[in-house]
Amino acid sequence: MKLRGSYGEVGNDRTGSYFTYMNLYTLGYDNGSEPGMIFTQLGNDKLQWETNYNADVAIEVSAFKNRVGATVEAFRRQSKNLLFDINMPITSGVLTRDDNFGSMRNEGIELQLNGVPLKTKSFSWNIVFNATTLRNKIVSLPDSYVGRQNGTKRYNVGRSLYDYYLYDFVMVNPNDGTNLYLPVDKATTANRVIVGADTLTSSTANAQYYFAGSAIPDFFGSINNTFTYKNWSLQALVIYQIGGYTYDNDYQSLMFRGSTSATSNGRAMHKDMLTRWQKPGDISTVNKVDISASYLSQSDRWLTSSNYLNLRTVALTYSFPKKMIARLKLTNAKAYVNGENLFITSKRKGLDPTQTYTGSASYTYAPSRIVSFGLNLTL
Amino acid sequence: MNKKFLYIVFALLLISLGSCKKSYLDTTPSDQIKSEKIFDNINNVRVNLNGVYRMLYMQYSGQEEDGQASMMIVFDFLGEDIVHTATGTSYFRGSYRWADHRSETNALPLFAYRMYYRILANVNILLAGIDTVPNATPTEINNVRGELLALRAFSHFMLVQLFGQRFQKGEANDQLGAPLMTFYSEAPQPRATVAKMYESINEDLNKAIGLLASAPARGIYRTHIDKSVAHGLKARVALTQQDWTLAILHAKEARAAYTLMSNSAYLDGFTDMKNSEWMWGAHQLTEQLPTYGSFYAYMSSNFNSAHTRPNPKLINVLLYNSLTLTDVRRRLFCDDVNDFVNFPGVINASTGQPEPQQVRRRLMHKKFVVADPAVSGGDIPFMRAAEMYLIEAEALVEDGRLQEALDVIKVLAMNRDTSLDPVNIDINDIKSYIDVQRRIELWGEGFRFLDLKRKNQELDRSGTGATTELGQYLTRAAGGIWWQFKIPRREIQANPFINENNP
Repeated sequence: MKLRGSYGEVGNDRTGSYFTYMNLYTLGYDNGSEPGMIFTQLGNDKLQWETNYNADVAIEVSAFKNRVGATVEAFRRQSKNLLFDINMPITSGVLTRDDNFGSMRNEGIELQLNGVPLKTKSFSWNIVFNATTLRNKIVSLPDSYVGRQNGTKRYNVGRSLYDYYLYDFVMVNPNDGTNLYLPVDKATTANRVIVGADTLTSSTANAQYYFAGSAIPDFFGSINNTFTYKNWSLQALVIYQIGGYTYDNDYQSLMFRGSTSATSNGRAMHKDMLTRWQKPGDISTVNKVDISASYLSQSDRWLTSSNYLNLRTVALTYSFPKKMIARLKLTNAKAYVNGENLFITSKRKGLDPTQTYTGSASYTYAPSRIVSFGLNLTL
Repeated sequence: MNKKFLYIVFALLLISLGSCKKSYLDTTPSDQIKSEKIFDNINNVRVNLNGVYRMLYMQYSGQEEDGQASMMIVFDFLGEDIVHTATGTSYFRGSYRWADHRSETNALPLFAYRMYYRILANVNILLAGIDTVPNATPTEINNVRGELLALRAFSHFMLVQLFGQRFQKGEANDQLGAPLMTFYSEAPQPRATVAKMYESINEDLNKAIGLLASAPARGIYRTHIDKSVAHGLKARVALTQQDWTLAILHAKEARAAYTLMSNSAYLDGFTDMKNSEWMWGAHQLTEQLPTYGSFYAYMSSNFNSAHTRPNPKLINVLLYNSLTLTDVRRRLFCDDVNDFVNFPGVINASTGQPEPQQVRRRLMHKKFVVADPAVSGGDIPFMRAAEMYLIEAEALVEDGRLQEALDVIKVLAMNRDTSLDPVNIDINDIKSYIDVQRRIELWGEGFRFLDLKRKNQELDRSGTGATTELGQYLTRAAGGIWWQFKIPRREIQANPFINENNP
């Protein structure tokens, strides 16, 4: 059994310039042929280091002559005085200046289990299982950033940088095939549509935003199995994620026929468009076909579970016997077959949740499946 | 001895290896100037002043953002006297359609707000420190100060006209304008009332007129504000405030030293400020052109751009028809699309011949013609003496002095139409006569939106040749929310004093 821990502080001054504290003017803004310059940088003489405080504590245990082992690790990375380009009031003559932004915390627990379930003279099976859970929290923000919408997310103290903040899409109106959202105010909202006992709105202008979930998974990790038998070894790595949402921009753009403009008229569509609303009375979650991109409004309709299971690599290796190597005057010789990305299961076919940190998939390519054969000789 | 020598060599090596990159030791950047240097001498102050003039025609963050020149296009496209031929490129289309200025997230309100406050920031920093400049004579300092104050008034005047409701004579005018920046501050500022802003504008202009009295004459390039231009700005402000007496006084002062141009000069293309009646303008050199954009890439008749080629700008046919047949200004507009001699239109720079792909329409203009059709640069007019005749005449009419108004306007009208017999100017209709003179004279120079707002008139594009397909609206009622630009959201986010936007 082992207990270990670490703590460190790391500073960062990356602002792209050594002169962020100075007010600066730039030459080259001539008036006709008279030389000219203008005020281009508002300095910040109170600028501080950005500091990251990293701490972690871990317990490692092993038993049965290392046949079974476990590591539990808790980590926290707190960032303070984050360096950012802060928006200035425009009356200051500049748009932004470098400032210390606020602070943010990432913390989580990582669990690793390893074991050797079987071990004989010629055969062994080794397994490593790993799971991590992570939490992100904005601890403080400058006033001008509080509550600011940033794409599909919103900056809020106490919430995560990765929490989606979106309109609440409820259903497609069975009467006319338009999208219906939960309204801000059921009584006075314009464009009201009563469906059953519910009051909804057909206009995003009256739709209500809400925190629709996080891009961060509940937990994620990997399972790695290694089998060896005499000169053969087989290794398989599976990675997985449970929980979290992807904002599927690619899917969103496939749910649109294009506008009537020359450059975008007619596009490839997702097969889900076959289930769209077509005539009054149709119950569907897909709006009618339309030339207006307004039907694609940013809402939780485009959030898709990020659960996945990915067989990342499988490798079969044969090491040539020592005698044979010696006869050929080699120091080492191996033959192998490797497979990468052999399969991935995800909520929507084609969606690859592994490719984005922020949860917004956009123009991603499916990773190619690679199978390679090789012979490795060392002289 | 030998050992000592080795130690020294090693020590030297250590020092040289351990030293920083040389640039670490610089305490100022090599490509920029520390703000403290600005006040080292009067010349540095002037260099910054020149930068401020450059801000009136440089490009900001987009193709529709060529300084004041772009705002001029916006003001005319919002009006009825320029008629579009086709959908054309997207640039300024949102202004023609009355959309851009009414959206707080659109680039236009942000650009306008940013440009004028950027000018104000530079000007206010200079004004705060100009008295500390060593080895400068009081006259040198005062001349620069006069220009700075006039530029400050100009910027506030534009801001109050865009972001506030119109000034109404005799009222309190306590409606909100925009933040009033008479000092430099990086802290957010509240919006000042329209009355307060005009008070400051007038104070600055009065001082500027006094200070510029001793300024030396400008050269052939009239890019700097002198006393006559300060009078001209004051006349514009007075007209907007419906202060007829002041408008008459300053318009007359402003034009005193200028003579109206000849008819042949009128057909020279409006891109050369050596013209006798240009009071103020930008002198845009070829190397100062943005890769895409510039005033004449949109507004000239001959530069071959994606904006000019498919979408030649036409004159409002009603305005055209109200001109006498012998008026020189009539000859700026094409009456016959097959007339390639007088209206070659867009020129293909490689052949020097009319561009075969160009769209040709009756009433397309040739007011603005660039000297070299391969280059979209030229001088850009900000103020001409003709405008001063128009201000004076309009103010005289409003003041009830019709005969005097006629006497002023006929000088301009008879210059533009040399066969005009002034007997034919109907004094009972003098108000609309002056209005037509103003609209035709200042066509394309960026006045129409501001004029309609100032006079509280409706926009009426019916019968002008405009269509709802291209222009979206044929009419916009006078007054009301449509005549105010939205405060850009970008400012509201960073300015806790501005919680509510214009309706």
